[in-house]
Amino acid sequence: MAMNDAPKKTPPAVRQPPATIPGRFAQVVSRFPNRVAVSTPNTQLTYSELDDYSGVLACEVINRVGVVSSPAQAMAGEPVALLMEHAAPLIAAIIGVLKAGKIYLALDPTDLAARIAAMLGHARARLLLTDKANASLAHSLAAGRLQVMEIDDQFATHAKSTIPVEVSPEVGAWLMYTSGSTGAPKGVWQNHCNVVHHTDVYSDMIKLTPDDRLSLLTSCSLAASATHLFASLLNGATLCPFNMRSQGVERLADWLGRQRVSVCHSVPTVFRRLMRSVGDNRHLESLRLIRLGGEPVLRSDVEAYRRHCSVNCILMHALSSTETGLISALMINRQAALPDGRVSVGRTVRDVEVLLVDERGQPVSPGSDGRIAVRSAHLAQGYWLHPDETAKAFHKDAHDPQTRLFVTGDLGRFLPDGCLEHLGRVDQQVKIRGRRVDLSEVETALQATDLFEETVASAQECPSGEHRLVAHVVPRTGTDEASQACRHLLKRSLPDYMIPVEFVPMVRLPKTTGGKVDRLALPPPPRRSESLARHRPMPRDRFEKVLASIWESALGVSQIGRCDDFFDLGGTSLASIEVLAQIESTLNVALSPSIIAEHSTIEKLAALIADHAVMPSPNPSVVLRAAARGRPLFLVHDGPGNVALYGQLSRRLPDRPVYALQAVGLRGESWPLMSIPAMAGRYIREVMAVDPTGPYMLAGRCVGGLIAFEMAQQLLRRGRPVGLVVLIDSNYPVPSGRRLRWTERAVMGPLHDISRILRWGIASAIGMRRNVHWLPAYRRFVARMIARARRAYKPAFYPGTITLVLADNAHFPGEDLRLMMTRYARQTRTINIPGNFGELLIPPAVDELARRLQASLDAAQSEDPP
Amino acid sequence: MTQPTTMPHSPGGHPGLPGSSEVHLWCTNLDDSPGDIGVLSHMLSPQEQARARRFVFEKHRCRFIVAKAWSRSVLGPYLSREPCDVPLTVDARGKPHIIAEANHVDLRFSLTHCGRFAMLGVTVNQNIGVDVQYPIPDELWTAVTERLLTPDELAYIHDLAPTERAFALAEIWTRKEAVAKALGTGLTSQVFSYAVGPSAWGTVHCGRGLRVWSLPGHYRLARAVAVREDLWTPTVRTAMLQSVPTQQYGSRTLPKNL
Repeated sequence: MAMNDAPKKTPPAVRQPPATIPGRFAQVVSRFPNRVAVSTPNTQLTYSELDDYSGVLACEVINRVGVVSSPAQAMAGEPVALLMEHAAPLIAAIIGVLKAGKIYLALDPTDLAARIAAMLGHARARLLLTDKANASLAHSLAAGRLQVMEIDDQFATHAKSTIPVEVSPEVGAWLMYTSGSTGAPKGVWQNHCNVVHHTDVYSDMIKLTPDDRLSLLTSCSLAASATHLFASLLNGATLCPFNMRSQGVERLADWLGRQRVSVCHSVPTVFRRLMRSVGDNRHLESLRLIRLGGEPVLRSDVEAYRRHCSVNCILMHALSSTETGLISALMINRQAALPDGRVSVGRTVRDVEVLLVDERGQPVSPGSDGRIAVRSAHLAQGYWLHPDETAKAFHKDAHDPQTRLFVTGDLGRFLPDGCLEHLGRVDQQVKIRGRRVDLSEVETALQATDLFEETVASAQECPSGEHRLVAHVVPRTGTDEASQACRHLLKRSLPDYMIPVEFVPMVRLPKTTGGKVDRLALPPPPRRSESLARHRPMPRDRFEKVLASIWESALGVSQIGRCDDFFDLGGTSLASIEVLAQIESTLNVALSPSIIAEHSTIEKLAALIADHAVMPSPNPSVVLRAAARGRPLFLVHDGPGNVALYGQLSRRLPDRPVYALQAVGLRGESWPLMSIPAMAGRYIREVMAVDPTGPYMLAGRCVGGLIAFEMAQQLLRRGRPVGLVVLIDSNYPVPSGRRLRWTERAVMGPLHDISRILRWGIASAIGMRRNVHWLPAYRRFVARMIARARRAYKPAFYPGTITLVLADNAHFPGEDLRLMMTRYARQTRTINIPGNFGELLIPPAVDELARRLQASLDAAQSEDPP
Repeated sequence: MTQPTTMPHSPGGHPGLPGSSEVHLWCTNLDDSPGDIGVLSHMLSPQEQARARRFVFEKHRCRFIVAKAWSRSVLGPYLSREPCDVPLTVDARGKPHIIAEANHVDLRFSLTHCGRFAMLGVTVNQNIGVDVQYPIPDELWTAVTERLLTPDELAYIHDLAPTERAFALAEIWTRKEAVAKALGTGLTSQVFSYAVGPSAWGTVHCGRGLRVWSLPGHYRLARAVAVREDLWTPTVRTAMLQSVPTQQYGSRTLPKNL
């Protein structure tokens, strides 16, 4: 070990060393003022510089929030939040906050903003420190409720300053929020003397010297970061922060070599990618110790360590948690025997006692598995501002008031040699077909097949409430072969029920801030249907069968009977919307969103829609109703581009042919039209092919009304007579809802459109449009282009009469935009229909609409010369 | 726009009736209930028991029973009644409410659950709608979004990274559903035409005199609340109940930890 000529740590003399971070830091500064404390590619910060700079920050913090904490936090101190890049200024800010006697709460700027806001709110911080890169995020999060202080990185310009605070060892040092997979994130806090204690234990264990250079890969918002942060700064060593998010793991190997990092701490997932990037014949020369933890370490990891680390390098596998700190650790060198499966987590560290307990908190019999419980005088202080939860989780010892017991969420067992084996998290224990399965065991077996780069096993819930085992994998080779071969291999090592039923191939697995696999962000596997075994009347005719298949895909249940109730099968309102969308796209019937609630069996629903289904057509013009006599009515599509919504209206207009015009490109057959005049030009060709003379009867809902309006203008310009132009609930072309800012109007809107068009152009150039699975994507793109065309449309004055059909029940916050169109026509007729905005084309409003429209059509036709 | 202030409810005692500018929110995990389903189902009204029997799958039945039993055990103390005596009935649309004659304080509530997670919103003298939803996979929405989102909402969703889309969609969905519940109309096209936006838009005044906002803090679960907008900035008291209390309801004892 590299202990050779480094200055030895002086043994404690008669006086105890200070038990606070600022106290210990001051000692180190006086001893090593010119050693480098923090080293990044562009900053080398010595201890005296770090001391000066953090001192200035401490004074500034005290100026802003004062020395005394609010009474609620009087004992613990007050948290000061930090929202900064993972770099040297953050380290200085942490030391500054600690010198000011405050608790540091480091927030990860890459975290979800909602989560950061929740933490800030819960911690009741009054001050947020930030840097230039995160200032705007900080101000939006603060929203005037807390002070924001921006820090620059001018280290050199600060003079010495005295801090008017004496920090007590009992005051809080850090506050860290755990991920909280089921509930809200929980804040855990720890005081100065325990942080110093944990630092001492760790430094002694790894024989830390001031010559060491320690990596800091973990975000400072996680408790795992505190070990290296304080181990280096309280021992005169150098801390090397590396921003994994912005730099990427690919550059890690290079960085380790350039920074001459001697002690590296990472999670196994990062370690594996690091080892792969090193290359076969290369070694990581500078490393003398690698610490892994947080996930299982496998035999293959030990092999990789042997291949790529130097002879002197030690592998440390540690078990720790936010609430307890370091629990146990195993240290092996390259000569150690390879383990069979998992690598143990070794023996418990100094001043910590590990017990294994069962679900009732009773110790298990020797040799059996149990939950890992930790007895120690140095556990975290508890959950921030949650004394009840703290009392529940941290059990006081009856005999020793200093000692408490914390039951972790980890399972373990003691091996015959006294080492502790970590068996995974309690929340990773799932029941599959009634049997208890440990997901990490499945993952270990998956990794052992060596077919995948990365794997994660999870239990997914079926609609019936059963769990099935799903593996998300990053295959090394082709997907199908890999999962087939894997099933085969797994049969040798795992019982049948532990083999995943579904393999979901991924390009890479989602990661948390700490670099672990983010189980919550895994995409759901393709749906598998659940069979209904009972006898029930099955769907009879074509419509019922189509509807049944739509229900089956939405509910994940197969063999649905015609009398089964949608909601009894577990249907939710969201699933009902999915059913509606499917009905709309396969059967071309638009229905009200509440229809499933009112017609909740296949039998009832089929009876309702069988009359209205419209078969799809590749041409813009679709015959909704064929009739020999009468002037035809042309209905123009609305925003989504299809004409399904006119089905019910056309059934109620019996005396004339009804045609509908659907948007070009809905099926990917050609490029969509980009402007309303272009659409109108294309559609009047269709219209004139059907009816060469006119006068023409045109109508449309929403944007369809605007297109009809434009068609009328173009027809007039060509000298064709127009009988009727009906705009049903058509707004003047200003986007509804939120008012756009001028930047969005002028720049962002067109930019987004251009980027959409470019992306779509590229996608179609590489052949996507020929793929039938992209139908929904065509529809989306066409809909967006229609929305874009609507925004860009500038109506010209129309020297005729337009008819506005308005739903009575419409809510417009300001002026009714539907009335704006009257300014663009010489004359306007208005028809008010009782009903809701957006629901005029479905019962009951459609009856009244059809009656009034019929009257207008008849009137227009009688005005014609015969 | 000021966000409603959130005050953590001090566990230990029942908070008492919500003030005129207060919203009480209660959350629980329905699968965490240690109580026996058979015992819990006795807390339900005959109407509710009949509904429970109609479920095809056991899991849905269990969650329904636990949700109803839990909501009764939360509502009971507000009305100084035993959980099984809370006089609940449903209207024509299936929305439950407290029978008017027995409801002198005009207590109103909205219950929602998604998977195992349930939330109950309680107010006095004004309507409330709450909704929760896990992230909605993008492919489910390809056809739906066009019709149900306003152009601005669509644009917002479209400009998100695919990984963020599922959660934002769930947020918008919960906000629309919360509005629909507060209005008591059910999901209509009119409701979908209100621009409610994702939580990034903050509190939104969405027409029909309602304001809607999202609750932060839950990593994977979108939660929204809609109440009347005109009076005030509502105070939200949230309380997590771990589960339905396990006491024997047959013996008519009040749950102690409420």
